[in-house]
Amino acid sequence: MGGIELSPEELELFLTESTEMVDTMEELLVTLETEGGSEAVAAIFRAAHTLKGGAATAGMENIARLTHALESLLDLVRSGERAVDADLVDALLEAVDVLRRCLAAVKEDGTDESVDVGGLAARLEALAQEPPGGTPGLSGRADGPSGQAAPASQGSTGTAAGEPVQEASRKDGSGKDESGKLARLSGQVAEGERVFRFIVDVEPDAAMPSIRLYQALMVFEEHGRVLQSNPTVKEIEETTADHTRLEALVVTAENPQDVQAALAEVSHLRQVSWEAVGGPSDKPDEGAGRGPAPGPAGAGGAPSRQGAGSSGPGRKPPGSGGDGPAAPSAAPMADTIRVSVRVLDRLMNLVGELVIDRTRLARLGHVDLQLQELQEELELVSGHLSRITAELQDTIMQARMVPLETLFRKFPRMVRDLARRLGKDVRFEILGEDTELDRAVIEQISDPLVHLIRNAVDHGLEPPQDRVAAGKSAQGLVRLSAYHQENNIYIEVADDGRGIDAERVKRTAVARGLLTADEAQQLHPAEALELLFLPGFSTAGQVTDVSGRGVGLDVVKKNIERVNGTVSIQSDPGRGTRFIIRLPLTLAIVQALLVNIRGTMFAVPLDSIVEILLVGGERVRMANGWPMVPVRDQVIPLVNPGDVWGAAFAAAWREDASNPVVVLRSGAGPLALAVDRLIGEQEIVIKTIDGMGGQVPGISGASILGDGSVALILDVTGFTKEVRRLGTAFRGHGGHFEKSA
Amino acid sequence: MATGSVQGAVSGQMQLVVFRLAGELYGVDIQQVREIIRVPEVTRVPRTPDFVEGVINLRGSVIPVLDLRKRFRLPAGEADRERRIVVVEMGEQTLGVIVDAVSEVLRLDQDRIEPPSPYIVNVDSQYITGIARLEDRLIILLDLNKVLSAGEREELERLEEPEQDGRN
Repeated sequence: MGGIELSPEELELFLTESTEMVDTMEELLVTLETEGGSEAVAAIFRAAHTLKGGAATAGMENIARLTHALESLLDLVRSGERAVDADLVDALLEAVDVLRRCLAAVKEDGTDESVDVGGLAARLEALAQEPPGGTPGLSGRADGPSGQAAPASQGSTGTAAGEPVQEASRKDGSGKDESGKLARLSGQVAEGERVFRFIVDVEPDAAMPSIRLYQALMVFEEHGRVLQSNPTVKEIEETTADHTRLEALVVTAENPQDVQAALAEVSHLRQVSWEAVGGPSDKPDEGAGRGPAPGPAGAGGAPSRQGAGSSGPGRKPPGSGGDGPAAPSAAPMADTIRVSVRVLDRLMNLVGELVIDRTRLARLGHVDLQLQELQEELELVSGHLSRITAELQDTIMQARMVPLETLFRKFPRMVRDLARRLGKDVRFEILGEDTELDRAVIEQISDPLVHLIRNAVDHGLEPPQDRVAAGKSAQGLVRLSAYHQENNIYIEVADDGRGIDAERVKRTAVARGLLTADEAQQLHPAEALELLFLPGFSTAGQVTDVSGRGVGLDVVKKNIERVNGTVSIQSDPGRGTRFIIRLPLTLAIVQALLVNIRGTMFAVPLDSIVEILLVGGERVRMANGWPMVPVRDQVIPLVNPGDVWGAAFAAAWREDASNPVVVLRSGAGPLALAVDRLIGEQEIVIKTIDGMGGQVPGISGASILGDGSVALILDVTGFTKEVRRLGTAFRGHGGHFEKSA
Repeated sequence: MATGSVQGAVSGQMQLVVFRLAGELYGVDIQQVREIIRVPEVTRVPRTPDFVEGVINLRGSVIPVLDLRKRFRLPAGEADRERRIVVVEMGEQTLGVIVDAVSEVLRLDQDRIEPPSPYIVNVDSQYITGIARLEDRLIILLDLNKVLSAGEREELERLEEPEQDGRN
């Protein structure tokens, strides 16, 4: 059942705004628990309120219902009647999760009907009715009275009388099947409340008069309860006809003038009038009798499902209507990106400049010019063109940059839940969240960061008693920081926990058969830590559902390498561990070395090149069936591209001369790649090959060179992996290096 | 009726791009064709099926190019000035197809199209939607989507292992 039918754009807007509200609520909730503060409560309340308003207008009943329950509970917190404890925050955070599910459902099929909010709403209501547990303190009281306590006796929290009926209406939640409700409502005028008949007229030329009336009804609901209305909410929702006049019977504890003033926030209302329907002692059914004929039985009650609910009319502060939270808005990680108008304008100007250059070039073909003049003119145009394209490139890059905050904001909640589950006390610090990074990179590092942060909380930090025993504070610290250095962004995940014991890492690696005891002996402690990134390594003694699910640091490393990043570990036993992720600023442009192999141009990203060598053909040695080249004091395995890509891509290898070799950085140590010719270094723009992305091992994409031809981009990680995979096949014959004798 | 043929503006008519391949005339529905270009420098790509010539730069996009002769297992043609790439759009994917020459764009009445006869053509009949008989010639109607979809996708995805020069 929909409310006002939303256009796709409106739905999109609703989703974006609601997602922001939910994100804001989540962030604030974590803040609330750790730092407390009435400001946070007020801000969460406003967010819930705004969300409720939007959801009710859009006909998203479950969201409206849940946010209503949230609002009621938060109202108690705000007034100090309910203390903030971990149970409360748990329930509120769960509500945030369910709201997310609702929004996901709305995105999927346009309605939140499929999400069951009943249980949670009841739990929130129960929490609201729970007797205030102790003095309003603000931090983690994990063992407080259970939030599941039976819906306790009403009224204990000062809720207005008449609760049972509202309770019932909320239980069925839909507003359907409420025959007999009117009769029950007759007892619903509490002390201090009065009944008024409001008549609202919409301006005759207003675009969507029904919506205005709907909004007016919402205002009434905010300031009281609507006993009856004509048209009813259902009629507004379901009929296409435009209603221009609303008559409503409203119970409120406020002055009718205040309600009338509140209606001013609804635009395009021509006139609002009201009259009192008897005094508080008057039976409302008398008023109902004089009121306009309601629709079918039950319809008249429909508005109350927006939840005149338990929040008594008198408790709302006057200014609470329609104000949004002042929280910063951030773009959700969707397929769309927010670009400032300034950037767009700049792009437009640059494109304009390009058009001018095109015209100038086109003119050159028609005008009779001396060679000298032609040359000068061409120089001018090409100079201008390169300036414009460089600026275009910068601007586009800028448009792709997103602050890390969009990613980081989900972590406090994660750490909080995790710490609570593990019984640890964790202070989580975030630094540099305004550092910007290419959108595509941010998406790729989300999972690795989740993993590293979980690791830090779960394995990095000791249990509180161990910390105290070690002379540390019981509260552990996990710090997530980001900063910009040269052309890279660094993200660090640091903890002040027990650190990593290099010897233990070595023993484990030997036990797992990753290296021999002798090899382990040789390793420097820092090198030993690198073993953690090997596939199949896990030091976690116990498997928890947190980070011991068999997904190890090797996956973290792989994901980071996929975006041309690197990850390293530093650890100080007893003092803590630090993971350092280095990421390129952007994915779309890289510095690369161009090489020619059998007539085909390949671009090798510079950051995966260790060095470039000329190797005398005679210096190749076979070791264990592999061709190797000596480089200073070590020997490096040599591979001919033909071994991986077939004879058509085999580099010529001359026994009697120097051969160009590119030494690639790979997870399994350096690998020397033979090529035919070194062309030079250049900045390349990465393009995907339409329909062939990721299918050719060792090729990650393509780039267009200055002359318009296409170079293939070497995927160093994929290539070295393929070399290893094919390794056994070549072992013993030396591939393309074997002498053809 | 012929799959892949879209009704022209005039009902019962369709527009064909007609090209030559190994001495025969083929026609494809103009709706499947995005443009026709000369053959630029083609960059070979490792470990792709033999009928994949490589990739080209189509105004800033890198698209794969297939050799239709190789696809149909016809004898290899010569690099000729007449050769063209027919750029085809299949859903999200853009592909180039190398043909011997593009001869014309033809408007044809649907009723001149006959069902394919396996005796007339030397191309696998599953790709053929019909034969158009004109006064002086026969045009084989190809459904490029079919030519390039199932089989081709499969083969593009089934990457070749590198040849071992007979050693192993």
